[in-house]
Amino acid sequence: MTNHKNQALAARVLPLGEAAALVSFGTKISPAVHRAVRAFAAGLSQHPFRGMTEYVEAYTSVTVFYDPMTLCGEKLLNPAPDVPYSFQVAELYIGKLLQGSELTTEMMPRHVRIPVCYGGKYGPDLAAVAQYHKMSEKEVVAAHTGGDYLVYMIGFAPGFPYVGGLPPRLATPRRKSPRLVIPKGSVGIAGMQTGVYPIETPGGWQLIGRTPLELFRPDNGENPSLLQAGDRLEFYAISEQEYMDYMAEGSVPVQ
Amino acid sequence: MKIEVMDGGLLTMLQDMGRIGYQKFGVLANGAMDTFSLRLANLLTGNALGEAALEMPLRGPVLRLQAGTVFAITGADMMPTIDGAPVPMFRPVCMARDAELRFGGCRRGCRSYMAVAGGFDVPLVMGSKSTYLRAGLGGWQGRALRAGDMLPAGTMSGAARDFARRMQSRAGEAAFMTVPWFVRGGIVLDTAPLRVTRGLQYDWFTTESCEAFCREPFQITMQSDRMGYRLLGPHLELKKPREMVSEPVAFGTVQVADGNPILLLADRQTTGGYPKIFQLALADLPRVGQCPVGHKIRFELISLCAAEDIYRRQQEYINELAVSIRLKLCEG
Amino acid sequence: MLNIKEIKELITIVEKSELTVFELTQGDVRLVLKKGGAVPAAAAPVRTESAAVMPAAAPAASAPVLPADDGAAVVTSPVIGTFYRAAEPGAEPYVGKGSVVKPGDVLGIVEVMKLFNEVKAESAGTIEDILAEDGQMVEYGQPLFRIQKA
Repeated sequence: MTNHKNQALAARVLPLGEAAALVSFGTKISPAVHRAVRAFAAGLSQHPFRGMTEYVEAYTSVTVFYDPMTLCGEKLLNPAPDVPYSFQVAELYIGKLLQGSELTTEMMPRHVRIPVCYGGKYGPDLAAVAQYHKMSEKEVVAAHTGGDYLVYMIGFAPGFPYVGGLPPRLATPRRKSPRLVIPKGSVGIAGMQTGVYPIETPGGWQLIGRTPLELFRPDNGENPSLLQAGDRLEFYAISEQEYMDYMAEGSVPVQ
Repeated sequence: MKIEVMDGGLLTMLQDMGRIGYQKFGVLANGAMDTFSLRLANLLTGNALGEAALEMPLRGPVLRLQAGTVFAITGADMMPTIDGAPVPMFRPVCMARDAELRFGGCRRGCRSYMAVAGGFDVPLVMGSKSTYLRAGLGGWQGRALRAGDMLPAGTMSGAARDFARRMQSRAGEAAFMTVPWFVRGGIVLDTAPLRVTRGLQYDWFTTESCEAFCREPFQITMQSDRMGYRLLGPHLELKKPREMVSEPVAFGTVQVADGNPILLLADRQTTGGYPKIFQLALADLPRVGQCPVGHKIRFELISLCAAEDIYRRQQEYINELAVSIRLKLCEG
Repeated sequence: MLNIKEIKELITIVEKSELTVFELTQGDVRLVLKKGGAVPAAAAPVRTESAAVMPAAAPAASAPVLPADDGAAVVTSPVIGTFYRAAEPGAEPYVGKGSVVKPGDVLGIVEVMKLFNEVKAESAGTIEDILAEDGQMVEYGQPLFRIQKA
């Protein structure tokens, strides 16, 4: 583990087993830390090192996965103690990349608008959420669509976004008993988090609506996930008819 | 060459070395639970190391194999037979006529692997032939095998083809021919401890808990599957209550939720929000894949460098085997 | 009749030569020495087992059996390597003194290049003696078992 402090990015590098390294930019979620995560991820994607297999962005860190045999291939032929192990080699590459990454590099965030049909059979918990906050359903929808959202990371399920920015007055505890099946596209709230279920899974979120957008496209080899870390999101309300039209035609109503 | 499924067994699925490069999209890695046995089976059939093979837990399938099919079975001993005759494991076998391959009870380990020369001709999904059961993707139509399925094999390598020709010319009346040599499975379900290295949140836990983890046995509970093994043993306590934000996890990460450890495995989700106390040594992951529910595991803490040395020796062993097996397949 | 020493010398000669097949018939013994045909050039250095002695038309690479004078058969090692009496450490040995065997039964294994080659009985009978130790390095043709023929 080393600390890399420099003009560009400050991070700690720690091993996650023999085949991965966590590059940590802080312990608290903040816009500055998020920018560092994005800058470093951009650097990795532009300058991958030999033996690196993939990387995953998280709230305050980036985990870099690698093949130890490629990284420390030299040790196969020469097991001398001063020949480095793969974590040491990875650290070297990561250190160089941290020095080269510019915090000020403007990675233009994408703005993605998510159409949602709120309430009714698509949002079975909207009434419960409204009641919990002593608001009307309309007010809940207005607050949800009025939020300014940021995708911090994709994880948990394919295409599933960890979204920050839910207005605090909408924070609702998870359901006491999780549902066995949550339909694909469901938009929900759990605690301070809001998000969209890209595939059918069990879960305990409060479901307030559903989107016809496909968040997970397995046939798209380049980008199987519609959303990516760094995206700015906006939810907007659509009618049930518009929702059904989309599902029938496969096109998103423009607003 | 086709492999006809007469009975799918418990949960027979195609798995390879896993889906690599898509975890950033939340797409699971999947892959074989015992990658060592998978690779051995592929070497024995002249396939590329990472080709897809059938992973067969506990109760194997019944498969109708055509004459000329070359296959190899590794991993758990599930007593394979053809027409009542035992089929030797850990060596290449060639079918001399059409016949059914059956499995009996599981005698040792819990996952058997069967590679077929030429691999399986199924589409790659995000670069892999592994089955992603939850999403219904990859492998054989995104699901486990069932009766009536006809799996197409790919084109076998030149070495396998020559091998098949030689075996078939000597077969006589027998349903299958095999060789008088074998490889050692390497992964034996013994009582030696599974080795771990320190996890990212190791120092969040009390010294007593860390020591207990490396001293007391942990039982694999019924709530265990390819996603992870929930272990039962001494409670693991944090020094003080702490929340953590979700972070990526790895194959072999030991997370602790409510004092109970969960060992994350092939079908793990890409991220987790629980503290990570230990990491299972890469080289010991295949052994874990052979531990059944109910089995008691003991752990031993080693350094990261020691873990890498062990892993490297295991890869060297596989590389040496690759050469010896290739020579044997070519010369008979 | 060729003895083991002469056979070993022949193998060395053939190995070093450009010959790929060498055949010799003496009395009722036919010796065929063949260099592995499909071995790629990159597989050098030459391994001794690439000149395997195969009794003609046998489906399995059984070890040459030397008839002895007293009605016993001696099973010898098919390759140079390490001899083991059991399939794996801790397992029961394949056979012991007094074991009754029939043709095709596995008596022991010889490991070379991480592969385990089965040593099989050619004749039916009883194991009279085991001539090598578990874990011992053995040469091609080294006597391993004496079987008192049934």
